[in-house]
Amino acid sequence: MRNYILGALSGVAGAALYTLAPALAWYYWLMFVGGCFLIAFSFDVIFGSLQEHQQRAAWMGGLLFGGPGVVLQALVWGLGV
Amino acid sequence: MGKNKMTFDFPLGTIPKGFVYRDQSKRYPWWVKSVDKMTTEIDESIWERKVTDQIQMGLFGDPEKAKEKANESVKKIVARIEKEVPGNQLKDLALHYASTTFFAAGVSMFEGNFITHMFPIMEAVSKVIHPPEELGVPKWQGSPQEASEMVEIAAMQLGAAQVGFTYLEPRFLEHNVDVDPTVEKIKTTPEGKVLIPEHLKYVIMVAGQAPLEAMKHAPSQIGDMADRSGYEDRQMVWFRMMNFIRGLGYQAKPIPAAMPPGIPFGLMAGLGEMGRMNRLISPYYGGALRIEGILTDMPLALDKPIDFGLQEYCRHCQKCARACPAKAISSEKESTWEPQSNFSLKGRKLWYENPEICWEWTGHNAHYCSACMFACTWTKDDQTFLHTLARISAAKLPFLGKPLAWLDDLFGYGPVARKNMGDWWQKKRPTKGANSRRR
Ligand code: SF4
Ligand code: SF4
Repeated sequence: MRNYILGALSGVAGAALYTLAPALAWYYWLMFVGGCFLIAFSFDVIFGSLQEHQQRAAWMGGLLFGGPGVVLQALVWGLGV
Repeated sequence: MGKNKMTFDFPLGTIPKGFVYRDQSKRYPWWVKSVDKMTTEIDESIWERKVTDQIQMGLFGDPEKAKEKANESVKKIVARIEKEVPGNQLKDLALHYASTTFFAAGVSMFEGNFITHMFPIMEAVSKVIHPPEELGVPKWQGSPQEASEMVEIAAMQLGAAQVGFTYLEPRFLEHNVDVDPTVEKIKTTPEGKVLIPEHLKYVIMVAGQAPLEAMKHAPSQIGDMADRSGYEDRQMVWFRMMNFIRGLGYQAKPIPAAMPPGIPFGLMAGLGEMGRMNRLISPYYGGALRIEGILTDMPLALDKPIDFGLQEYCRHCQKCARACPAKAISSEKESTWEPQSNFSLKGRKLWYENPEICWEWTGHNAHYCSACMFACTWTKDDQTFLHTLARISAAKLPFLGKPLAWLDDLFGYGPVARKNMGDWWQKKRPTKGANSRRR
């Protein structure tokens, strides 16, 4: 379920990005997809690790995968749009 | 140590001709290779067979001394209860002993040697089954492939974490056990030699899984419970599967010995590879498995050994050696042909663990340890894709063992801090048994 929601949110974000910046350069799209992937993966690590009672793995996953994902999204939405 | 004098026309550790094999392509994910030879190197010219009596002597020593040790252990256990040490309180101890109800049935936990006590229970539970000959119907018939698929499904339903099929290799048996074409039933000679009839040539390997969350609490009574639960689950599925096979009209017997040799059969059945810690490491469950074998005359399609890069990965990882409180596991980079204790056997190239030091630690601390089995970087739950990614990386880029073990530490995988050992009771979601959807 978690992954479906993240997939749907990424789709909505992609549609919004296309509406706001239809002529966006390909490398911004690449960064957008990479950012979505990293954020989705960080959610998987955070929630999965919490289920496994591995708190440190949860926040490490958030930091190491979610962090770069957020940076990539910030670059796309800050510079590309 | 007894040496095997028998000769065979195929090298030990390779799969023999003359058997039907299962299609291995769907057995594991793509990153686990099926191979025709076990990944542990074997030198048949110096191969030694297991001698349980000596191992038991190592475990329990002379009975008087063993009793003394047991009394000391009891004092330590009581002192921990009185001091309310986390994970070592009365409820923890009661849980530990309760978890071994069937494994140690009929034996005081303070007695220690309960291994052979399970045989009368095995006899008692076999009465549940009414085989086809008693019902007046023919025995189950099917191809070896159908038989293996059916047995696997039944075993998973009855609690197995993993199942594999191999053949009865006499060179893997105890020093005093052999296959003899002239006997019809398993028979012990007056000289103490155990003879297995030739028709019991198929081996079903079943594995019970130790509960992963509780394993993190080793060494404590919670960790001990996890360790014993693994054995108990294995025992349950083992007994149940022997009954299942009998219910189909075929024979099912344990591999003869007080502590039957399981690992070589497990390796040949492709349940895992031999790891640095000298235990079978499963690509799904790491060191959290407890395995046992069943001999049968039901024609089965056999499985093959597997290779997921562990021999190279273990060279670099070494996490179990670092986790071992007794320093019983080799930290040498290369495996060796030289056994490291009186209870290790020659003929395998291993990172030999020293079982004497391990047992000494266990006796002195009044805990089953199993820290290595939990600390192994392959011993993981399956709630996040991170573990799959780590497994693929380890299997396909095994030379990265060191950085991967470092990442494993960085992510905080390892034992729960001593002061938090009692927190297990607050976790609310104790897991029980095998999650067979993992395979
Ligand atoms: S069980 Fe404990 S003492 Fe024995 S080898 Fe493993 S970590 Fe070391
Ligand atoms: S902890 Fe590492 S070195 Fe030890 S058995 Fe597991 S993979 Fe091998």
